Amino acid sequence: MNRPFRVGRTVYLRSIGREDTADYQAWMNDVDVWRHLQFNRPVTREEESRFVERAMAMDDPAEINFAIVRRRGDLLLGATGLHGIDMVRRSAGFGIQIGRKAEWGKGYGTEASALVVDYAFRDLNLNRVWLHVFEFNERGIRAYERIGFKREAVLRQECFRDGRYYDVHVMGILRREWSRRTRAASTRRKRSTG
Amino acid sequence: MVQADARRIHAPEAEHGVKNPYLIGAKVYLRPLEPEDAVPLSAWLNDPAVGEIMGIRRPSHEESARRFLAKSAKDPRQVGFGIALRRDDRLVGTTVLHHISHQRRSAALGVAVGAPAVRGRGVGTEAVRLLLGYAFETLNLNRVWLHVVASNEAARRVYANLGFVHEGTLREEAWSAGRYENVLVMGLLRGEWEARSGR
Ligand SMILES: CC(C)(COP(=O)(O)OP(=O)(O)OC[C@H]1O[C@@H](n2cnc3c(N)ncnc32)[C@H](O)[C@@H]1OP(=O)(O)O)[C@@H](O)C(=O)NCCC(=O)NCCS
Ligand SMILES: CC(C)(COP(=O)(O)OP(=O)(O)OC[C@H]1O[C@@H](n2cnc3c(N)ncnc32)[C@H](O)[C@@H]1OP(=O)(O)O)[C@@H](O)C(=O)NCCC(=O)NCCS
Repeated sequence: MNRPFRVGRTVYLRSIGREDTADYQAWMNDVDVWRHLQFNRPVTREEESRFVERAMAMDDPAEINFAIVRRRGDLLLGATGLHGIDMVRRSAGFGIQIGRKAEWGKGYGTEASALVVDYAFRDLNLNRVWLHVFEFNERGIRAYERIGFKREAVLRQECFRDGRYYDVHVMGILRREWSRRTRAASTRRKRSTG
Repeated sequence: MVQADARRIHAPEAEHGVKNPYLIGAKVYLRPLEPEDAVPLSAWLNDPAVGEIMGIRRPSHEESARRFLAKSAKDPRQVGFGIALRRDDRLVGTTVLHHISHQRRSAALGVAVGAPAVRGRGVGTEAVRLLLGYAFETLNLNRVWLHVVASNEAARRVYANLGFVHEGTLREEAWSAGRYENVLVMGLLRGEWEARSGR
């Protein structure tokens, strides 16, 4: 593992580095990835570098970004992070992209999201984490539900793709819901080992 | 010469003879915001009812309000207006479209009637109605949305009266007067607006 920051069973989170730029740029220009994001322009190397430099500097208190890496083979999978972090409301937005499409649907997105949510509540002392997801992103919605995000609002026609409007779902999870889940999980673990 | 100077000192308002009404209603009109509007704006921002909804939790000074206005004016994703009374041209609030996206033809809406004495007299409703006309008919938007704290009964009433639909509730998304509060998301689509305005 390279610069591991939070380590899960199959993936770990680490700081983003310049070595990630080329993969990130390729993924942000892949329609299968960007059609799930509020992003509608091609991304040049310079723009991607600007994101990477910002992520490396870590000097924006409202934003934290991580690289997602598969532990087996130390393979870069994508990026995730928190944005719009507000320390008065103790709320932040969550985002994730697994750009390496061959690795979709293998549980990595769910595990990486859980690592970020855990970090938000346990390390940053946040109270609420929210996200936006397009209605047709069944894989994303399923992963977020598994972690415990609840659907809070449906923004009608807030997304335009393939020549038509789609709804955007807002999902949120509160700190007390997360601690209840992690408590329940550790009780389950103790029971099965004890 | 002397006469003119005296007038300037005693009636500074008279200098701004042209009020630049841009969107005109029955009681109010919407006009561009000018640097000197920072004076009343700064007073309103010190009212927690206004400052908190704008995410400002620090004391406001004319200078910070002036910078805020200058920054907003330069942002291509927003259009802000002053709300003025037709009766005496007094500036009583502001209303703004922000997060304008031309790709999805969507924008967020905000409104504040600054002086508490002017609230509850239909000023907010008329200002928002004028701004919605601008959003749908001039900017050709498809959707206007907003966030409102659950306990803000007057604002919820204004939006519901104008046809906004409650799209969901963001749990504990606001911190207001020392506690967490839910935030309602409300949205209005072009078709809904047209049906109401008889188009
Ligand atoms: C959304 C994303 C992060 C999910 O990560 P992932 O590693 O692919 O997802 P996971 O394997 O952890 O979980 C996906 C879940 O959806 C299910 N799923 C997979 N394909 C599905 C499909 N086509 N329809 C419905 N469910 C599907 C999986 O079975 C799994 O649920 P389960 O754990 O109950 O079996 C990832 O696919 C991605 O980055 N996509 C492109 C960009 C994107 O959408 N970003 C998020 C924007 S909000
Ligand atoms: C919200 C605000 C813009 C409304 O403007 P306004 O000029 O006071 O509103 P109007 O007079 O047009 O309409 C107010 C409506 O709320 C009702 N109302 C007022 N106070 C109320 C209360 N405490 N409970 C329930 N309804 C109330 C009025 O009866 C009226 O409804 P009606 O037309 O059906 O009778 C204004 O009060 C304001 O600026 N408040 C502070 C900033 C703010 O909250 N902005 C909105 C953030 S989302």
